[in-house]
Amino acid sequence: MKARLRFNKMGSMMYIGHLDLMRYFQKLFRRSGLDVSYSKGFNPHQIMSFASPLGIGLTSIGEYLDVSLESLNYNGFRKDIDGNTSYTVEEWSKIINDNSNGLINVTGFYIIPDDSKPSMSQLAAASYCIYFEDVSIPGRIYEYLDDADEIIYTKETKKSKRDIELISNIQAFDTSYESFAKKVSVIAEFDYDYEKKYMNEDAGCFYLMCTAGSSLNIKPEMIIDSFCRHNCIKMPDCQIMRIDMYTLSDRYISMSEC
Amino acid sequence: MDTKPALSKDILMSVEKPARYIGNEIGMVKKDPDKVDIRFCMCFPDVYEIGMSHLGIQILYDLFNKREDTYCERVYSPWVDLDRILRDNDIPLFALESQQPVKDFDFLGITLQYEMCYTNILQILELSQIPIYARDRDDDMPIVIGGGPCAYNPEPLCDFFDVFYIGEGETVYYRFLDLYKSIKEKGYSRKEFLREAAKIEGIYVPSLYQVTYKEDGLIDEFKPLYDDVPSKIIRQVATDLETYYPKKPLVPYIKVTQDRAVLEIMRGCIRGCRFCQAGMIYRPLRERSLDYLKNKAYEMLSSTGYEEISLSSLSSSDCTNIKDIVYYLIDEFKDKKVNISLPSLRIDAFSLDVMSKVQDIRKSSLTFAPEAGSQRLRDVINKGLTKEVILDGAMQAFNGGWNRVKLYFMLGLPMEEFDDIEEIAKLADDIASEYYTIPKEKRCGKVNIVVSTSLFVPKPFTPFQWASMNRAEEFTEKKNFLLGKIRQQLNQKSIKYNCHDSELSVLEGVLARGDRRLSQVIFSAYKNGCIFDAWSEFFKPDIWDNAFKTNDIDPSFYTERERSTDEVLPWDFIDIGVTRSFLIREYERAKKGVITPNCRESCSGCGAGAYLERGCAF
Repeated sequence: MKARLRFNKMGSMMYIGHLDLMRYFQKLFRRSGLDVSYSKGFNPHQIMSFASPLGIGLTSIGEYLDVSLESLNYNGFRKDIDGNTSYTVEEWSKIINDNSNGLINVTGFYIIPDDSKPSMSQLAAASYCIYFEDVSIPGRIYEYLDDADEIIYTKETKKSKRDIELISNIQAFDTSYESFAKKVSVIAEFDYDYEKKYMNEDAGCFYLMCTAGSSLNIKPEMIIDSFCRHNCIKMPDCQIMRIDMYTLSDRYISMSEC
Repeated sequence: MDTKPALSKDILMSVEKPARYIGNEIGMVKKDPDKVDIRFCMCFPDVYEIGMSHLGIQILYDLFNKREDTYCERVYSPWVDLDRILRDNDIPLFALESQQPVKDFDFLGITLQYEMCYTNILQILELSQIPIYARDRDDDMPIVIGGGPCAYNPEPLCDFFDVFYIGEGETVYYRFLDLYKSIKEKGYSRKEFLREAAKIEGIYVPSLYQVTYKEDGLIDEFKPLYDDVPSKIIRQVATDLETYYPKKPLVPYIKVTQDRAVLEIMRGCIRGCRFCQAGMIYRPLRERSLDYLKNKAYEMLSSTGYEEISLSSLSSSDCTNIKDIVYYLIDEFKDKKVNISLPSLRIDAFSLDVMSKVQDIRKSSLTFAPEAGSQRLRDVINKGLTKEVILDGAMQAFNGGWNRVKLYFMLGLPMEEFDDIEEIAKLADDIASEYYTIPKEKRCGKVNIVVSTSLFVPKPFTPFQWASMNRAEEFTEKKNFLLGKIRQQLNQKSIKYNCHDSELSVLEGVLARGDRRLSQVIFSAYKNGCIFDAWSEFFKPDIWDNAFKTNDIDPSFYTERERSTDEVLPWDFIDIGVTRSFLIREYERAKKGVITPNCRESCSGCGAGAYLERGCAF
């Protein structure tokens, strides 16, 4: 049996890297008593994969992981719970969250077909909310993107330089959540107030949906960086939060709906 | 809800492993700091990954937080990158739980696990903006307490601490906190509190004692300044071990050194190895009951989600219940993917059976700690392990499929000759030869032997506390000699050799048996840039040399001298239960190469049994 979990990663959890997050989930599932499948061999590990690692410094309300399960029965260490006790996916979400730290919460628990492709290879795009201390920035980025037909961004790594065209890889952008939600046909519920607590109340927001995945991954930082280079300004203070991730068939669909 | 980190995002994003500083781990206790009477900050003066692996702090964390009026939080040494940032930005060091400054606490308790963390203690104090010298602290500053194994000779640190707690925390900490609370209620004075605290058994307030020296530098007299301050400090021993133990141990986000649940099965050791401080200062042997251990194993695995549980004790094979507890863990958890790790287990049929069930034989290795190469020297140190036992254990393991062996020795033991060192090389070679007696088709590849030598550092409260320690050059000569001998062996290609740093060990030796005059040396070394001395990449022997010179102190006075058994030692005012006459007796027997039976074979009258109402239970 395979399950897809949607979860958030809030506040100071932005400092927990991807490998540590995987280790966190392994322990979290064991505390919860989720009957996870293990690989064979002398060093068995939980069969689990994430849609896309979230960079350090980013928060998210739309992360996904796939995990293989033996059953929905309890298989933990508590002696007061019988091993044949079975829970619904809603109950499992609650049990897992009760065993978590309040900053990493499961917000969706879906049973998916055994033959479904891993979320990682289904990923086509991701949406973000970027909070800027300087409230004038979102409007200026909007104009910058709206005016351009093409933006070539040069991505430099230690080994190589690569040019990426940004505009064709941006599916939507806006400064208001309501109008952004209209452009992005399917979008998960968004608890705006929750995340605002981590930011200045008056921070300006910019919403963005761009290409994501293993072949091409547009990071929101690239778009901000490109805007800054264009205007010769230094990187403004901002906080990036991932809102959701999408697959592409005839249209973009939230990972929680496929 | 999330506690806002004390550090800004810019800072956290710029340092290595920001998760060291954000707290909020699973198992972390949350209380409202404004609603408690006592705020206690517990410190391990090394980096987070080391400090979080320490069981003692977790036990004390549980003990303090069980009190409703007390909130115990934690702090570790900021790594060098954050150290610089805190200094440059004048940010006070903060506790992980509340993210509030340590200087606002009532107590700062620092565990003293090894001598090489002494400069880190000064770092913690300075970054916390607490005066480094205890005498400069006013009533608003926390009371700084030291405890742990190095507190058995607290003298080199005594200028920096207000109080040392000598012994196990389970006994008088509550009384100590109650006293603090009652003095705080009627108008607090630091001086008054310290004077009253000094009357609690096990509490040592160094500022209330005076040391005078003779012309030759030896201690003339050590005495309290006042009549109502006790002249002897009695080590605290918990007679009931089934009181405080973490039900929900802290689970760090990042990988730490000890990344598993730890089950302390007993305290103390029956062996009486003459070099071993732990073997003396944790006497008498006290075991936890099987039922208690079973429950704790369940509680901890269920509250942490750890994939591994480790049994902890000085010598697990000597635990009466060891087979029961190990087979229980294997049977109970075999379907739940729990790995069981068993350090300090003697290699025999039982341990090999267990290891074959819980570990991947191809990846695990056998560990022997003969400590000395020859039988003669093993008798001197009272390490009751014979060559036959080692070879027999190794052979059983080789037949079971193992092919990796780790051997631990010490160089510089009292009465050591070069012949004894050569025996180390021969023993390693004999083990390898033993492996090759197995027919080729039954072997699993090549044998792989790692010889590690640490350098012997005489420690207080051991029979060797009077012994002379080798100089750095002697250690280096012995290491080279051993390496040469290993290279002459038939199976030398199968033997790898590792060793400790000579200068670092000598410094450890100075601090281990030092006196009050060393506080200023530690201060100078720290002020000139020494920190994280236990980390070889940061150890700066030249600065330490200078610190000794500028303070006109000769380090060899503390290391090279063999002391006479009637000399006043800096730690003589502590009564650990094990008597001085026992230690002298053991020192004499060592010189004659006579072994002393372990506690179960026959009682040697060390004195520690007096702690238990009915004496030791053998």
